[in-house]
Formats: sequence, structure tokens, C-alpha cells
Amino acid sequence: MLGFGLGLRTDHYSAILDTHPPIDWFEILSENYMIPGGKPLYFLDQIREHYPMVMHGVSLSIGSTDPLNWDYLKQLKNLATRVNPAWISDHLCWTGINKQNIHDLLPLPYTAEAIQHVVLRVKAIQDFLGQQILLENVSSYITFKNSELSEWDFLATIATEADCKILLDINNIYVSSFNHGFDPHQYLEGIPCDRVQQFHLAGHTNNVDHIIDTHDAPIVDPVWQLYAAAVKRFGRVATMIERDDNIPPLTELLTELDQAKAIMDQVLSSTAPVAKQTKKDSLAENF
Amino acid sequence: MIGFSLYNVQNIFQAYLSDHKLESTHTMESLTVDTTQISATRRLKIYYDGYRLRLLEILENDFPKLHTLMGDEAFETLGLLYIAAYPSQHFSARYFGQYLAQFLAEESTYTKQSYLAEMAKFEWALADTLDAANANTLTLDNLKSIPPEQWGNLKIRFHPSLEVHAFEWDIPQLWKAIENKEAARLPKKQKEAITWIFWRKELQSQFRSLTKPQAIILALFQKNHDFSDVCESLTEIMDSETIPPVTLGFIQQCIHDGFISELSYA
Repeated sequence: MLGFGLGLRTDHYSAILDTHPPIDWFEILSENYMIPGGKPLYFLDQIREHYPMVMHGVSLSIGSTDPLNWDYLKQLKNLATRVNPAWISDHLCWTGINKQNIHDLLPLPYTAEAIQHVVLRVKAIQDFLGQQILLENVSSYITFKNSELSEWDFLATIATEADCKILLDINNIYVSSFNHGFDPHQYLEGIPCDRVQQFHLAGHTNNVDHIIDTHDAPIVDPVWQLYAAAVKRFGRVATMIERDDNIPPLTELLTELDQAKAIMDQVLSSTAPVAKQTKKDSLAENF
Repeated sequence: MIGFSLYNVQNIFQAYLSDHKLESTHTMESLTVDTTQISATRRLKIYYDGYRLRLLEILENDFPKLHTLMGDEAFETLGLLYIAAYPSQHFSARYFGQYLAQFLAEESTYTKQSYLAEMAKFEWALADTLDAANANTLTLDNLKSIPPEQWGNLKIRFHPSLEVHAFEWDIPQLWKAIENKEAARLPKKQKEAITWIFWRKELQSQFRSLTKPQAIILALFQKNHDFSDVCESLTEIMDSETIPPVTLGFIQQCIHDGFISELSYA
């Protein structure tokens, strides 16, 4: 029962410890704490004493054709032992090959070869970590001509075949739907309800002919509307707001989080979610 | 599209991002869907620019005073050269800038301005102290508990955050001047290099200079020499009567500063 969370950011460390704001949980960026010691780990431990946490990574590079980085995975597992997170997530993407790291969430071609490749790696990682992981859909700015299926079919197939969960980023669906011209509601319909364990919400930058997932602004109305549709389909799923730049005071993010709560309450009080009718167990686990 | 395996696609995409050569650009464009809204060329450029902007921002955050010292344009030029010369190989962006001081010291464009490498070294040392491993720190009571007959065997283990660097330029003073938003000035070369130490105390980075004898004492203790060895080594530069009190005074200062983690004499 996690509820509504925020990304843990250094700007808010002191405010969190001083005021213990009413936030259900925090999502940490795993790599920020995969360090020997010092200040970040001190605050992590202090805040963990008061709040549940989930771990969210950017370097798993699940789609890379490089071998899995076992040094990274060992450090990830060590951090998980320290944090005892509700779950661990990363992105359905690749971040580099030939030992190079681009530090970007690069899109994959949606092919049978990529599915097979990713599924094997997710299984190996889940075996190593001893738990299911969540894979998040990324915002993308290109699609490959050799893609054989839609992004949502690609994500759903991998989640089903690898038996992993999904972190559904509502803003990323909106951004990619704008950039590639698909219907975001069709995306939601293509995702199996029992796989979705977390939602992300965030702001973006609209450059007229494309949108970039910048996480530097408030959530816009079309994304709130898509969130409402997602809640209607998937039910009470743990929801979290990401802000990585132009980080406002904590109180401002709490107001956004209240808006997410209000939308979820409103949607679920007026409609019995489709997912709730069919997947009661998974809904209970997710929220 | 036949023949483009997942590896082929990733290889050509990464080559495009890294070098933007004509061949990789043409191949990537041929792999990418155009839309009526935006061309493949422009779509790919989002990734190309994003790669550089992201890493430049990381360098700006890790080397703010070097940035100020160089100015926006020169710092961006440096960043782009560094990105090409030292592409990130660590899973964490935290370590992307770890070779910048080395790059500045090696790259012919910058070797005549050796203070730039020193400023990068200084700022990287400050960052390093913040997330170095944790360890206990001792108090003067720990020092007082050493039996007099064991003083000769005393060895010291320092806090993992401790770093030692020598600077030929007045980089620490210049760093402070920029921090205090004082009027811009060029660094000053000193008569000889001065040793500075960096460490973490109560979650904050600390730094201070050492005298020549202190630098020698510290280096010897870091090499696991004991108190007797250290005093013996100082006889060439100091009056033998002043060596023990100077060494002891330095150890007391280190304990006060909070970067001694263990005293042993077994």
C-alpha cells in the first residue's frame, strides 16, 4: 500500500527531515546512492527511517547488446539490502554499447530479436536480485523503420514473457504519442492491467514539432487527463511525480501530488475500474 | 533494413551520437522514420544535442569555478573536446568528470594554462570527499591513551576521504575568491608548489594547506611508517629536538580536524 510518492532530490533533504511532509513514499535514483559513503547516504538513511522507498535506476541498460554489467548489478543489490525498497525499477531502453555510457535512455527497435534479448536479460536480473523488477516506458524522439510492432505491444510482450512488472510513465506515453502520432489511449489499452505496478507523472517541454521529456515543469492538463484514463483502466496504482530540473519548493510538489490524489479519488468514486473487476489481487499489491 | 541486427542498430546509433560523421549520419537517417511533422534528421539531432548538453551540464555542476574562470564559451569548447576524448565508461554520470584534470594537463590546447588543470583537480577533490567511504574519527583522548613506551611504534590510518594534492598556482585562494564573488582575477604562480589536503568533516568538504614538514609527516604515515620512522626521516630537514613535538602537534591537529580514523602500536 504505497500510495502517492515523490522523487527524492537533494534540494529537499533538509525540508523533509525538518518538516516530515505528508508524502507516502519516496523514489530514489539508485545511481545517486551507489557510492562509498558520505553525505548522500547519510540523508538516504535518515529519510528512510521515516518513509518507505522504491529504487529507480537509469543505468541497467536492459536493451544493450553489451553483456550485463555485473559490477553494477552487485552494487544495485547492495543498495537494495540497505534501502529495503518496495520494488526496483529501470527503463526499457539501452544506454550504450562497447562499454561506453551515453547517459541517455535510448529507444530500441520494436523487433522480435529485441524482445528475445531483453526477456533473457530481465530473467537473469530478476534471478540475481531475487525479485521482480519494473520496466518503464521511455519518451522517444525517433522510431526505427525495422520495428515490427507497436511500443505498447513491445512493452506488454516483454513484461509477460519475462514475468516482470511495468512502471507506466503517463507523461512519456503522452510525449511519445505526440512525437510519433499514435493514440495514447490505444497505448493504455494495450498494456495488461496485472503488470502495472507504478505510475510516473512529470512535466515536459513542447517545441511545437516535438516534445522533450524534460521533467522541469508542472504536469500539463493533457497528461492529467491521460492519468485519469490510466486510473480508470488500471485502478489504484502507486503514483509518483518526477521533477529533475527547476526543482520547486516541496510544498509546490505536494500541491501537484494532491491533484493526483483528487483525480484518482474522483475517477474511482465515479467508475469501477475495469482492472479492479478482473485483477483484484494485483491492485491490492500495487497501491 | 535487412541485415541490421540489434547490435548493428546500436553500433551505428552510438557512432552517430559520438562522432556525427557523414557515414553514420546517413545510415541512421536511413534507419529512422520520417513524419509529416518532423524529419528524421531533426529527430536524430534531438539525441545528438541531448547527449552533449547532458554531459556539459554535468561538467558545469562538477566544475563551477573552472567554468567561471574560463567563461561560458571556452568552457563549452573544453567540454565538447573532453566528451570526444573521454566518453563516459562508468554506469554513473557522477564519475564522468574524473579525467578532466588529466585531459587539461595533456591536451596541447590547455597545457600553457596549467592552472586550469589544477582548478579541475581542486574541484574534483572537493567532490570526492563528499561521498568517500565512512569511517570513525578519533579524539585527543585516544591519543592520550597510548602508553609512552609504545609511541615509537605508533601508526596512523587516515579517514578514507583524505586526499593530498600539490598546487603550483594559488588555486585554493582563487577558488575562495570566486566563491565569494570577488572581482575576477587570473591565478598567481607561487614560488614553489604547496601541498593541500582535502577531507570531509560533518558531511562538508574541508581543505587546508600543509607546511613542508607536515607534508612529509603525512606522506610517511600514509605509507604505513611508524612514529620512529617518521621522526628519523625528518632529521635531514629539522633540528632533532623539535621533531617529536612538531610531529605530535601535527597528529593532534589532524585529530582536531577530524581525519584520523585509527591509531595502532601493536
